[in-house]
Amino acid sequence: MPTQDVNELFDAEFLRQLESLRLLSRKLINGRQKAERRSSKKGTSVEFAEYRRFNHGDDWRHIDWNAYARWRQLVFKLYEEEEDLHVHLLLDCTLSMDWGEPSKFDRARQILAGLAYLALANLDRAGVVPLGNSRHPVWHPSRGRGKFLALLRHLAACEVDPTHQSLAKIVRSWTDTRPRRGLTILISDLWGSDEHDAIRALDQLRHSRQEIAVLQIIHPSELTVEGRGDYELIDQETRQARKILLDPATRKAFEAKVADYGKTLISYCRRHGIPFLQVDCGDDPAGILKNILMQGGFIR
Amino acid sequence: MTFLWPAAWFLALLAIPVIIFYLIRNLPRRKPVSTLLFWDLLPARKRSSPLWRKLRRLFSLLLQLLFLFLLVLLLAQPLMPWQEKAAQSVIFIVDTNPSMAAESGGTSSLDRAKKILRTRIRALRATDEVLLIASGNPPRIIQRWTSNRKLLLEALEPIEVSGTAVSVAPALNLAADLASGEGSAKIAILTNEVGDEIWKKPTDASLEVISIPLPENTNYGLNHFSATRSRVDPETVLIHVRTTRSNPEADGDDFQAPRLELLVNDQLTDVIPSEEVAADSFRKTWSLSLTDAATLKTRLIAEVNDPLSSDDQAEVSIAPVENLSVYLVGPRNSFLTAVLSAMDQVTVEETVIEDLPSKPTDALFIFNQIAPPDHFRPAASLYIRPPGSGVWGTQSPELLPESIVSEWEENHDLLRHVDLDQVFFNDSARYEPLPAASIFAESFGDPLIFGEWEDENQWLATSFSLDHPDLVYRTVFPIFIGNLVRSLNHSTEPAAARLPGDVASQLRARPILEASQADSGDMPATARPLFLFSWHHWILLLAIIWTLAEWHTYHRRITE
Repeated sequence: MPTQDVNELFDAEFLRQLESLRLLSRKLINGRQKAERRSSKKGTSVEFAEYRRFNHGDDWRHIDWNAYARWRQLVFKLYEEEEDLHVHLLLDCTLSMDWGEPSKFDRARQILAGLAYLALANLDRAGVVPLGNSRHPVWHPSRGRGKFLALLRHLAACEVDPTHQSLAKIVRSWTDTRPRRGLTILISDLWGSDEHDAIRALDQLRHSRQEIAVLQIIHPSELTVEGRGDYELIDQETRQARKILLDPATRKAFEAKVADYGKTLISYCRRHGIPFLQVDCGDDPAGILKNILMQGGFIR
Repeated sequence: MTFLWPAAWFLALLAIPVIIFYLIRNLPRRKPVSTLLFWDLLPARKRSSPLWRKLRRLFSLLLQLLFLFLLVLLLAQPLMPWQEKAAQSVIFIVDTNPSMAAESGGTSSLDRAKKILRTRIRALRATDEVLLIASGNPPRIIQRWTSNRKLLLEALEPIEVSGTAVSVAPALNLAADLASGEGSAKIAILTNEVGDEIWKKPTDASLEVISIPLPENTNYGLNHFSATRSRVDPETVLIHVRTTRSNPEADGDDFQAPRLELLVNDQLTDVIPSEEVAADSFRKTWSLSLTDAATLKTRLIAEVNDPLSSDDQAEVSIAPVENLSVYLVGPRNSFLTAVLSAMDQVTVEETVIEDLPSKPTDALFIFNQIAPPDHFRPAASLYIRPPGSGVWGTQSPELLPESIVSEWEENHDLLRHVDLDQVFFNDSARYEPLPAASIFAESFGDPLIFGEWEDENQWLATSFSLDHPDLVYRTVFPIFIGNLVRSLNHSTEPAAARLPGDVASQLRARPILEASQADSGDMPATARPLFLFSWHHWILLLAIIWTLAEWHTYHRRITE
């Protein structure tokens, strides 16, 4: 059962480890200055972007007089606008995340808190989106480390949603809000309603022109199955039942299917340049975050 | 088809829990999973249990039921039609150990056994033959092979319990010998299983044990009663009694012990109150002065009768103190005559060689410095410094001028209380006794008192005479002669009453074992039911292995 105790979920040791991870992240991004990210918006920085025809109402100070002298036309200079990065942390709140000991959901929230801390420490804007839990409010992207403790309380109060929803559908419901472009990190087990559901969800994110990173969190007991004989398997999320005769052949086929599914996800992410990391929820969260930093793509 | 133990079919009810267990086992176990995504991706044939697998489960259940059926069939001991039609020969052994007299509800165990036997005899077919044996030492065939029911019923009636403990083993051996001569004869024993031995089942014959239940009441009985005259003082009679009690744990402290009475010639002589007798095992010894013959009785008097009455009283007769005739032959010695005359129960007669009786009697003959006639071998004789050669050996011509007793058998009955320390003889002769003679006293290797007092013809010889004894010697000699006379008094033989015995009085049941178990000394808590055939063991072993293998392969069979 996922906990809602903020002190239990984010203990002092974990917070200390976050601070050391922050230093590590500073080394990795190698001294970048604040807001040193180019935006596709045209703005008022010193970096030239392109020309366009001068229209009525444009600021005449940006007319390129040299070009006028050459072409006898008024052209207007556009510059790259530099702005701070929006990091959208998407947390899967479907019931399948409530699995294992420690719970996948708890571990996901700890990792998410770590990523948010690193983003805030880099003076980025970090937001938290509880996918599938419409009752829990979205933490809109905001900046400043001073908001981290409030963010932790917000995360601790977040629960899994008992209603079954398609992964693609809940991602779609977020992208429909037209979030600002930025880095979107999806933390989920990626167990969809069917084998293509997770791919469809990632497509949704891709098509909304987000930079995507995917963190798949799983429990070892989900990769295989113990026992022998007749079983009635109950889906944690949908409460649907399947009668199964468990024997070595069935177990082998099941493990092959799980492995194939993982390969499909990895292949998709590689094809589209999406950083992908599969983590074991039994691992130490600080260790997982360190792996994330070393993997690259999750922190800019 | 008939069955020798049809009640075994009740064991077939075990099929119900077996079926229930299988049904429970076949119910699928619920197992929560985080997602069914991958199970849905599996081909349907892998997910579900196909028909042939379900049939395999059914096959497993059928195997179990078949095993149970065979086991029950085995225990029910079926008789095939051809076996039913064949004439049967049965040897019935009736256990007559004293505990079979124990009563419960007014009926003794022997009467119950007879009742069962009567029923069996009446159920005989015309072609069946029966032989009756009563156990005992030796066992008795009370009716030879016959099909005549009337003869069998009549032979049954006189059977009585034995007065003392008897073993059933000789009866079983006899029955086994008789059964082997009769082909397929069976042996049936009616017993309450009380005995002090482990039974051995005859190997070549089938044995049926018809058990007679033991009474539940506590039995308190005599298991020993004897009387004997004291060897030191034959006029004193020592009476020993010992009692025992069955299942002392059953009654606890509420048990009311009987009182113990002793009667001499039907006169109440002593009573031991129940408070003193109230023990699991009680012993008592009386010492009474009785010279004449007497009848000694003891009895346990209880407020409530116990199951076994035959051990509640016992009786022995004690013989009177016998008169011993002593013949003195040779020169008269007034000291010897005076010593013998002073003893009670002794008749002294002085005689000469010529007047000796032609046939020696049980009397004691004392030859004083004279040799007996050739071939005169009395039952008991004392030779005082005999001359020449004889049964005592050979007298040397040289004397032992001064001899002092250096060693003597002070623990021997003849020299009990005879202190020969520092006793001095001044006229001893030197003897060379025969090798068979024992030396009872010696002086540095020279025998002083020697002879053979253990065999049928008892004799003693002294190397000294009584003419010049010193004062100490005079003191101890009467004691020595007294021991000699008492050892010849046969009235000191103990007389013991015939009683059922400790095992019977305790109504202690022994398990009946197979021959192999009895040989190995194993004592299982219960040995029932007895298997009739040796192949039972093999089938049972096979069935157990089969069951274990079936359980082991259950999962594999239904899942692969």
